[in-house]
Amino acid sequence: MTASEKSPIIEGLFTLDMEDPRLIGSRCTSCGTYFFPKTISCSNPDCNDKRVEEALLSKRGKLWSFTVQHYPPPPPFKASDPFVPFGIGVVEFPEGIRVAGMLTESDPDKLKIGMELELLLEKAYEDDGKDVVTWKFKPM
Amino acid sequence: MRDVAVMGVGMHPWGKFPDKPLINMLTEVVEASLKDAGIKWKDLEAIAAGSSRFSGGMGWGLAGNEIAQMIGRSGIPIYNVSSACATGANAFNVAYNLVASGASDIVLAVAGEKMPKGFIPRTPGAADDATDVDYIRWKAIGIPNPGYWALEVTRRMEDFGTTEEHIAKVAVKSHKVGAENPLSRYKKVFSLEEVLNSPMVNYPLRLYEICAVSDGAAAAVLCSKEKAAQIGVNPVWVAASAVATMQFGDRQFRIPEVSVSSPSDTVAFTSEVTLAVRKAFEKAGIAPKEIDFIELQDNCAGHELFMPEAWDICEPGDCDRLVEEDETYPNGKLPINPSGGFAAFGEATTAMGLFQVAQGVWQLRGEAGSRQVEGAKTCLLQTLGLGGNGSAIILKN
Repeated sequence: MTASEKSPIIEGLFTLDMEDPRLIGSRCTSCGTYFFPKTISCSNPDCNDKRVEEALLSKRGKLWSFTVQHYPPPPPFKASDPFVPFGIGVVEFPEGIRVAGMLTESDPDKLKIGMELELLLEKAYEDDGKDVVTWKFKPM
Repeated sequence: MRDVAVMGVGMHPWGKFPDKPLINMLTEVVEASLKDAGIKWKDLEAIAAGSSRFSGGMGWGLAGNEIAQMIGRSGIPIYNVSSACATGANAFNVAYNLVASGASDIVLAVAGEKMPKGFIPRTPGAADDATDVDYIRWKAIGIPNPGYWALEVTRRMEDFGTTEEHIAKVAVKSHKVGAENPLSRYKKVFSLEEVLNSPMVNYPLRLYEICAVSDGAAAAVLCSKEKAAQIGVNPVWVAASAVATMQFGDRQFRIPEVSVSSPSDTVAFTSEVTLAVRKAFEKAGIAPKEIDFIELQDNCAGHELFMPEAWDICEPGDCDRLVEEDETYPNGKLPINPSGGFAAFGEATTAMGLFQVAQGVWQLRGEAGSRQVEGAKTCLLQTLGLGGNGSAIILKN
């Protein structure tokens, strides 16, 4: 059985590598601040040289906070039918940036602030024979 | 800068009025505020109007012009102000600055909105734009506005041991107090059990702990001290009106962003608001702890816990104690939202700043009935809008 072809839910936000994905952001070449998604300018007002370059974030981070989505988000989100509540977390990366994303865990009793999570890509829905994938965080 | 008075206010009931166009609501509140101020339309020298987002304004957000076309084509300057949920207060700030600077002696601030049904979604018709973080947060993550508030609440529970009961108690208060406000939308009173058993929306926030959306409109007439004396009505004074925007390093996980860069614990939390609040206290010459009551933006019940602490009105964690001891009711040590707040009214985004002004003025005039904060002399009014727009107004009598 051949694996389905993957396509990113939005272009340019992550490397389309199912084994070792990374979020794609920007890093200011002057003050070192990281941004996600990619940006065209550093928004640090104390930084005068605002040139940014593309930068990949680390694969792992720590859970800073979380919620659980209990109702189907409206379009453009494609909710599962029947709807199953899912976890959403904010993950703190060593680069000094916190990023939001879906979690693979939806039980608040199994989520602990400070726990280590790893980035992965998972199928969000199917479109035109391809698996459309988005980034999620999975407890280590 | 001259002293500025609020001479009159007018407010429409908050609710759903599908058969009543926005312009009808706006003309009503304008006429009510003029009557309350004891002046005529012709006396107005400028208008600062909230730029309504979802209807009216000839499709261009020109609410102020639409009102003048309807009530009085007097050729005066009209400013249509746009700052999402901070719009009403920012329109007030424009009116305030016109009078304080001496540019105008009498200015009308007015704002209204009719909201589409349900929690606010991505604007219908908005492009699938990969560079728009609002598109990303919906399409790739599926996090709605209550999700952002829930993230702050979960974090607070971790940092301070705040429980679901603390959050629910705030909601019980909002609905109990709001039920006594003739202009509120929601008149149902809930027990603690009913709030704790209401459907979970975004863990840990439940349905009765999150504000709905409503139609609403409000207006205020501002004038100079000299004009107030001429007209002869007892005004409420604007001790301060301040506006701010987001600061780099603010750790707030802000709608509709999907990241926070270099979050710092030394940068003002919810900087767009906290910087405005600090400026307002400084301008008013009052210490935060001296304020008599607060009307703040309770998008969720949790906001009544973390915002007063961010503004140094309470020490970190203390708002939980106040809620435990029922001290945020109108008769408590620190009344918060004696109007019933966004919880009892629902959010008419554009108009909320002026809703708070009307409610604050009535309290300071001693006209708040069963919700009266006894002896109230000062109040802080706060709103926050998409895009990092924050406002703070301090009124005094």
